[in-house]
Amino acid sequence: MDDLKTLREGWGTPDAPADTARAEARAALLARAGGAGRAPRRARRRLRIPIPLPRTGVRLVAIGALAVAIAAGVTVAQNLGGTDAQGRRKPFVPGIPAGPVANAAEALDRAAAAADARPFTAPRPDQWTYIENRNTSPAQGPGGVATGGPLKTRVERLWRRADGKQSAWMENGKVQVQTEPGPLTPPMDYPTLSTLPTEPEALLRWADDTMGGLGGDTDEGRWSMAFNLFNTILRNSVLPASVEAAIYRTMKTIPGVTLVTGGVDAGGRPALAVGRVQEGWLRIEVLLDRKTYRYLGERSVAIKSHTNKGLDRTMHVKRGTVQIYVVRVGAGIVDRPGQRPS
Amino acid sequence: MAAVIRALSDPGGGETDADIIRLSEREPERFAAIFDRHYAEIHGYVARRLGPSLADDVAAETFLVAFDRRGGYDAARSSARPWLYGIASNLVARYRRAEGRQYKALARVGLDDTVDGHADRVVVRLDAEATRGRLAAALAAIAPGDRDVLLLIAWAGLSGDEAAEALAIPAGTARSRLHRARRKLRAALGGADPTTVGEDA
Repeated sequence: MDDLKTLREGWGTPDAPADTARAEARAALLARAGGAGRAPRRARRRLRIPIPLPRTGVRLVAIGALAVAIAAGVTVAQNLGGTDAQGRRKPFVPGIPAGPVANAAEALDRAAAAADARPFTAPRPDQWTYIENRNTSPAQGPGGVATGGPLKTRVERLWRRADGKQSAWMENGKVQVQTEPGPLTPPMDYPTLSTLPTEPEALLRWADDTMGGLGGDTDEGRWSMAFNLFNTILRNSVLPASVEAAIYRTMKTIPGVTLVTGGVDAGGRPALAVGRVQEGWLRIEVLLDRKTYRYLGERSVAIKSHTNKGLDRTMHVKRGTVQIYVVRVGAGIVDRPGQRPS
Repeated sequence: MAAVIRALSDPGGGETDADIIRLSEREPERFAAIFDRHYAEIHGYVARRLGPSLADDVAAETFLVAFDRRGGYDAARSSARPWLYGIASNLVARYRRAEGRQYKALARVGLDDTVDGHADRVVVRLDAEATRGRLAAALAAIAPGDRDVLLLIAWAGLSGDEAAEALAIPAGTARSRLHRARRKLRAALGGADPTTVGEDA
């Protein structure tokens, strides 16, 4: 018998990988890819996977007029609100109080109410959702962990057909359209996103089901998975106002979500930041407009120095390092890929 | 977990690995399709070399490393198999001692647990185990670099050129490593006269 054949056949076939091993490995990969929250605790311990981060190829969403205003460098707040004849502050969004918020719950409530109050026309299936973001981050180390260094800013633009069947982007000035090969997790297709549950409890359950228990066995794991998942959806997708509102209301129910004190800047605009600390060192924040409570972007920042050991290498992340900083530039609904909202 | 796997495991229809890797540049989640296509195979390969428990970790790490390095993937190569096997080989190399221990343990197995079971079955198992024992002893004695080439060809099913690419070594080097490895293998199997063994491309 040929020696290579003997070696091939005489060794015996290894057992198929265990479902749990496969699931953990896949979860770890998705965590690394950034869209899936974090890997199950057990997998992280065994693999010593660098912390999961929001996806680095982030896209962000601004809807309608605000997007245009931002793109044009106009501060929306100048056109809204102000004081009435008695010098009292007028609300910027009718029915929603102006003025400082006391805590995360209040901020998220106002964001939800503002979203609910916003007119939204659903796209036709043959229309396209458009998203433009500005993503600034330090040059990232392996595993997507930023350890410091010079900042890089990239603008990304993405179109998705509202029937979920195609997506498009610009490459060298040309529109590239591709057929969607299959569903993504978390979902980014409008048909799925537009039918999400709008009750916080149901939305949380959906998050858990969708991520298939990727949050792991602990409550903390599930909460942080859910918070990351909602951040990812906000960042990447054009959402019906009711779904966006539901996400804020659901975030409000997640323990550990707090209002970040001190000013946070979102592309030159002062933002409210509502954040949640993960693994004791990384705070992931949703940025909201201080006056209109619109989604402005996302930031994640190391609130403590952190050392991360992997099979491959060890990484040190200094306190204060911004891992990811997303500013929503524009979004909307258009008729053709390559078109920008007017 | 099953739900997640189902939700994500449309491996992408007619797209090549290269297509998916390119798309994953802007949409990292797409890389999951590469995992779905190749995980079982990579796991099996590592399991043969390191045993099942290390295989879980190393196979998982293979895809993490691949993900991190996807930007450098050569789009001209439609299949990612050689690339993934190369990464897996480099990770296996960190466990040389564990690998050696496993081969030595397997070389010893087969003679000391024959008391239970039906005689026929025992004989069949002994045969298989004896073969594997001889193979394991041979593998333990082959230099690691030569073994990488040999196993990429015998177990991973790569061609000689693919193995060379996977390990980032010149094709000629891969051929001579394979040649050396096979000579030892044949000697251990008690087969052909080593001097008559030719080279395989």
